[in-house]
Amino acid sequence: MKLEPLANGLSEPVLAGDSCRGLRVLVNPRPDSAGTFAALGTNFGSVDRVGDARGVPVPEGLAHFLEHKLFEDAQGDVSDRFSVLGASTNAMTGFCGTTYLFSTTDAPDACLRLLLSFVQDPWFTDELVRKEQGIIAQEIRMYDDDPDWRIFFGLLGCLYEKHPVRDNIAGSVESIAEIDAATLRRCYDLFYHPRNMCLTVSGALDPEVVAAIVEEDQAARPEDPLAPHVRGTSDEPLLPVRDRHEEELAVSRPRFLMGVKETVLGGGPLDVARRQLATRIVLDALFGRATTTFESLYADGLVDESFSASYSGEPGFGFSMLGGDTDDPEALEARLRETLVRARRDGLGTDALKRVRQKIYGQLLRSLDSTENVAFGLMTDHFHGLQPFAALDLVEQITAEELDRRLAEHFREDAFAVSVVRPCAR
Amino acid sequence: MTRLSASPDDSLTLVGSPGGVEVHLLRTSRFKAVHLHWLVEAPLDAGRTARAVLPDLLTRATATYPDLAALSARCEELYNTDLLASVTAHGGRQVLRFGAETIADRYSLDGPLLPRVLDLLAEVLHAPPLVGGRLCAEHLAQERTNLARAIESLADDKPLYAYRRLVETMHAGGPHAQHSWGEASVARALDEPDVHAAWDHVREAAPVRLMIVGDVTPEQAHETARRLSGVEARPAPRAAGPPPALPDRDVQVVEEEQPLAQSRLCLGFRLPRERLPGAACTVTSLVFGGGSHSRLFKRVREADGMAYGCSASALLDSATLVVQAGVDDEHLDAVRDTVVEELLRLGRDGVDREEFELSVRAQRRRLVALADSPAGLMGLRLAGLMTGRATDPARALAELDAVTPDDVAAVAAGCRLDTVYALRGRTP
Repeated sequence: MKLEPLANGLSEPVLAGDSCRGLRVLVNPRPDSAGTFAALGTNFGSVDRVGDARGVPVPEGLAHFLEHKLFEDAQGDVSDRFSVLGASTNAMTGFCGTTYLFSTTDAPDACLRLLLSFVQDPWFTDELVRKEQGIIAQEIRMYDDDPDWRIFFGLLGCLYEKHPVRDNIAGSVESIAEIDAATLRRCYDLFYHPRNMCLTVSGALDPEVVAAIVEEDQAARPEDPLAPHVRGTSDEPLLPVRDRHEEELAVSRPRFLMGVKETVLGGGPLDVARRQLATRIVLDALFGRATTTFESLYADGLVDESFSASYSGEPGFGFSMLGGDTDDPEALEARLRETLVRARRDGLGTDALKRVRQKIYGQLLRSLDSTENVAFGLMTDHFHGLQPFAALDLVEQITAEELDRRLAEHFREDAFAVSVVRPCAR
Repeated sequence: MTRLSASPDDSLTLVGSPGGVEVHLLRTSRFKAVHLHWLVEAPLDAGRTARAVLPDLLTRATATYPDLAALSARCEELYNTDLLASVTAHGGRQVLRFGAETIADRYSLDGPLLPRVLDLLAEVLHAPPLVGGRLCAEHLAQERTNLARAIESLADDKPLYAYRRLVETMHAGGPHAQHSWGEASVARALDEPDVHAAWDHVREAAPVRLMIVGDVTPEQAHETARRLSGVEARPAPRAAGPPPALPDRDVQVVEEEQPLAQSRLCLGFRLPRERLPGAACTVTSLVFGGGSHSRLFKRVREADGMAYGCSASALLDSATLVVQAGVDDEHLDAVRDTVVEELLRLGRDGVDREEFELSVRAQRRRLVALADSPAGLMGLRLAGLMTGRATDPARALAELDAVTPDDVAAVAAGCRLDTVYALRGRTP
């Protein structure tokens, strides 16, 4: 496998290549780094709820369950073998991806071999699945007590009626009880194949060593006959299913989250990336720390440092979220709605693009000081079909008119929904 | 291209104390950012709440940038420079952290950046927007309310709440029981003279350490210290002392109940004081509950399936070993008994070679990896300076290498259960 330099706007050394079986490999060499961080990800997350090519449905929480189970094979706990190598390992499941990683200062070559082998050589038995059901049930109950998690999924439950993004990534105690070894195997075969995966490495490990290890691993595996996974469309309604979710939890103050459902879906990778960047710039121009809106909300005691405004966008779903801790959710909601309606009517003006390039340049540059950030960033960009650090180039192309267009198309009032967590009566 | 040890080049060193400000510098071009921390030390006394409001109040506005919007816009112009503002505790002392993280001058597209960032930081420390010589009443009212709310909100994170309740109970009456943010009722009652006096003390009389990691010369670091200090002389930071001794008593048991899906269990063990120097207590906590190779993970999670997480950590500055678990309520007593039993077994039967080596290796990796983390290097140095422990990865690694399996067994055997705190979850 040959790794070739990949040009990018930050002049950061990034080498890229594809293995003989189609695994995409991206390496950020750092000879003076003490450690190496590597991530092996698959384009399969909690929203992918089919167990075979015909679209047979699988239980909620399957991708997360699969992530847990890969850490145990015929030889026992994989984490123990990383520990023997002086490395730490972990994994995470998101809406659209599952990522396995290690961090080490000791034997990165051996760790890389182990990463490739444990993710690609699974071991499923019904007995081990039953044991894991108990552990994951504990994890689910832990999240049940997390007010941030509850308010987030409360909001997604308002925004989405059918799309699986509305469901808890870990599933429910009931849904994971339906999972068995055969279902795990079917899903694994469908989604864990080289062409649907990506390896990123940032740190001290020599790129030539990475290439040799990957090629040795991949050459011993069969041809990959499957194409990368492409998410289909869902019959999700255009607008939110409910406008409000409220619940009481053991918290000291109310939490408020307003969501805006994405109504513009589809398009190619650059369309999605532009949508994402433009929405984030709009949110920053309306609610960022440098805005008069945030200043007045803060001065009126309606928000504090916990307030944030963000956007997540994929080809098949997307949403903006704004909110934080507040003593007066109703007043905050009214002010946020008023700001969005006014901005939609009047436009953002040209100030919105001021400082943005310097801000993004500074953010991206500082993020490069972390091997973990770089490895995750490279993987995210790859699965989104983008070149590394694409935001830097995209921001140059975005115009004030495009931001106003985005403001008008995304922040429509009938796409709003609200989730509130209030302190329960003691 | 792999590292098994720390290099002296990875450590901050004391490069002088201009005007009494200890300057600790790691000059390096390895990072694209410059990290600058202005660390003000104070006691965890009744005045801690008034001091705790200062970081957010002073990073709220300055004389030149009179509101949050203007100050934030200035930071964005400076390549999204982060102004740091936080309050923590180390070794029973309060630390106010001000500072900045910004890109190195060589990446700036419009001339040297560090001088402009220092101008801003100096203004944050010394030139808030005063009205008739008084701190802005409106800002102060908002920030004291925010502080009070933040203190009250600590109870919303249930694992953290349970941990805090354990520590408060176990170290009641001592500095380690005090949260560095102070008390909500005190925060709500703060007036301008209280906070102004705290500000005067912090900017003119409090001991300060300046830590810098980045492409900065010692001369620049000294000049930065003088610039940010603004006074001719400051007292030296206090030398670290031993942890306060706890009284002889029976095991304290505290239970509370809340409408939660999961119960939280925290056990506080006293670590044997004679074993506190070196790394034996740290390695013991790792063997016992420091990750997926540890005894508690293997037994409580993997073998018994009673908890998603069950972990142990050593708080060396208060000589405490804390075990935390999130469990179904019906398993709470069983998990408590298992934890106590496993610690007794570790003390009685000792540690096997493999679990000892895995723990040492895990800690070695963490220490060597600090070389890649400016914040980690500064954190280790500050904690070491304030608790009298290792201040750089090389010394910490040497201490780690000196630990034997017998040391671990001796630490475990010397631990004494002091306090049990249970937050019982009851589904409403």
